[in-house]
Amino acid sequence: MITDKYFYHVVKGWVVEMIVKVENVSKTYKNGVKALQNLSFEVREGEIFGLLGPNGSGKTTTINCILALLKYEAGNIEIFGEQMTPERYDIKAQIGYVPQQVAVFNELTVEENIDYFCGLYVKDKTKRKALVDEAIDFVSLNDYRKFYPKKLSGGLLRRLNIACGIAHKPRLIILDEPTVAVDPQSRNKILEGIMKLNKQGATIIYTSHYMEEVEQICSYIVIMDKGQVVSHGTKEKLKAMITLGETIEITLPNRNEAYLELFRKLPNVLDCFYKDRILVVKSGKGQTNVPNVLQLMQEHNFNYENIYSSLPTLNDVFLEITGKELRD
Amino acid sequence: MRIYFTRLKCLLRDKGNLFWAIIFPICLGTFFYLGFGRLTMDSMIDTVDAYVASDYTLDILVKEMQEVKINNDKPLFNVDVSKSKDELEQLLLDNKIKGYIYIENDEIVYRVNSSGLEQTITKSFLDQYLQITTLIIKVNTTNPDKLLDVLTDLGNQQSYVKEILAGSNPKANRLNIYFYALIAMACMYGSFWGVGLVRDIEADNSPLAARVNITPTHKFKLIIMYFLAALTLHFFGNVVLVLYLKYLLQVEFSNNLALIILTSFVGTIGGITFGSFIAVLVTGSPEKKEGIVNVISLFLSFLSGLMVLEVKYFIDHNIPILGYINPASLLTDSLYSLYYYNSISRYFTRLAILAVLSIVFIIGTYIKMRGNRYDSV
Repeated sequence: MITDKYFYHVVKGWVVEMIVKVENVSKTYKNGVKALQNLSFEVREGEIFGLLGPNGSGKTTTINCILALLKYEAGNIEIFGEQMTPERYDIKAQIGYVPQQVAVFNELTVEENIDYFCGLYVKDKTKRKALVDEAIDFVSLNDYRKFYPKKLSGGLLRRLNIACGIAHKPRLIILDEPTVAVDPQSRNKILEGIMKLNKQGATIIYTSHYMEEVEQICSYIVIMDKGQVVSHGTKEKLKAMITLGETIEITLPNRNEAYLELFRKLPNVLDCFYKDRILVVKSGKGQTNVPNVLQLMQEHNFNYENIYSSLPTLNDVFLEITGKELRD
Repeated sequence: MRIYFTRLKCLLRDKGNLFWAIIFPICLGTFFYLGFGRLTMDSMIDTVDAYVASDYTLDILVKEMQEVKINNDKPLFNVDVSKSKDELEQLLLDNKIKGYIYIENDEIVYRVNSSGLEQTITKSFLDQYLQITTLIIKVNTTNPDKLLDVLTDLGNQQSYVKEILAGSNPKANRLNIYFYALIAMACMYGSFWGVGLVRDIEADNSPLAARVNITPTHKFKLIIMYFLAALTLHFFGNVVLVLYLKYLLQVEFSNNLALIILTSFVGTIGGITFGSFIAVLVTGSPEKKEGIVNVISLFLSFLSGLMVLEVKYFIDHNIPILGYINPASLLTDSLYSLYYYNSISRYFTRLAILAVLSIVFIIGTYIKMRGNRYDSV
């Protein structure tokens, strides 16, 4: 039962339920590493909530604290308006968890694995059979039902890992870096699947250090670094926070340092530098700088192999806020 | 029950588990059998050379010594009464004989230059001879009308060897003790299943355990189901071992097969719960836990006399409480109760203590695991 009145938010006149509330959580490991420092955020019903941050930023620690697996020295975590503890089996019954490491029984087949985990939530055999079939369909493992995990490729194994976490149709699904070491085809299938689950009504918490994925599927994003929230909001809001408006990359046949000064003199240019043979021009918000760049190159008869313009990414947001790249 | 059957399926499909639970003890039993299973104490003992001083002898003693047999054909002593005491003393000093017997002031004196099996057998015979003659003299003096009964009773004691070496169970073969030890060890092997149970439930032990931890399944239920699955498989392995020993290797368990299987059942419970309890107390990786459980099991087995029987007697006499809290000791004690003492009450007492200890272990495991949050997973 939801009892906390503060667990409802009003958005455009609709009451939106707060699914997860993390308040000032701090966690220090025994070795002295401060994994989380006064971490706070909220996840609302129906969101695909992205936790984005580089490796070691505290994403998995956050998930493990939410799931009451880890001790933390300060703060409070509520799920569905209730305090989350290891013995809140009623809360756990509504959560699906896909861990970062593949966690399945090597001695059970694909179907048996999904059935076992689903059975820990759903007792009714007939209902469970339908759910297991649906989950197998969902991750496209129909041809591998009788396969043992050792016979599956990395991508298929990841899909099995996901199926074991979502088969019981939970209200809240937590996916911790589910696409690590996965081939592009499987990755796309996984991302499509997550969006489908969300459309079916599940609230998703998705952690990743792949900004493209988070940008592609998440409706709300928290960017973490060193156990703290460095920024949060929708991707549009996050991008609007920074001064960068456009990045133009020109691949040149040869690197010429003299060009840098010419490009820096163009209007609205924030920065200009080389990445190997690629000349990168960063411009501020406003109109695109591509015509100015092209005109300059024409005027000076510059040779170039190609030119490419892109809007700011979450990596740019992270870079501007923390001074380092997400993949550092 | 679904958790139980799935767990059992997982354990059965793990070939490593099957090897350690079923194949390994059988292999060990076979090695024991090939090594010394065919040996008996009778065949281990040869006729002992006994020297009695010709000038200080006692005819009746010499006659008794000549009549004692290891079995129907083989005499226990090869008695030599051809040398004088001085000659025998010289031979003893020259290490040419191990000992000699002479009579001085109506007392039997056995002089030896070192200890050994032959000297022990001779001394045991002489002790018993003395006891019997003293008894006869005493009865003859105090109650002469009972002398005939006493002599008849004594006449029924035909084998000194069995009396000396085989304890109070006349049918038992002392070498069977190794097979009992094997059964006890197989039960203690259950401790590894206990470590496996903790590894697959404690979230900081494996990713799979972490996943199971966030499901709505009560931890106690998981512990019990995993325990029952391990018990089923390991007990099955132990029963196979006992039947293999009895029917294929023809190891003589007297009439105690059912009780040995009962011991095996309670011992398996003890082994698994002991392993899980230690594993839950020790922090660190499952490999570390396995190592520590192994060391502790070996140490407890050592204390229980599974390796050197004398250690058990030392513990029983000096630190008896240790015998009551050591599962390995309780296990061996119950098996030895069947073997040495034919004592059902002693047997059931030990088994009951082991059962209580097992309950304490499993509850302790649950209490330690219950509501656990971990420092890291």
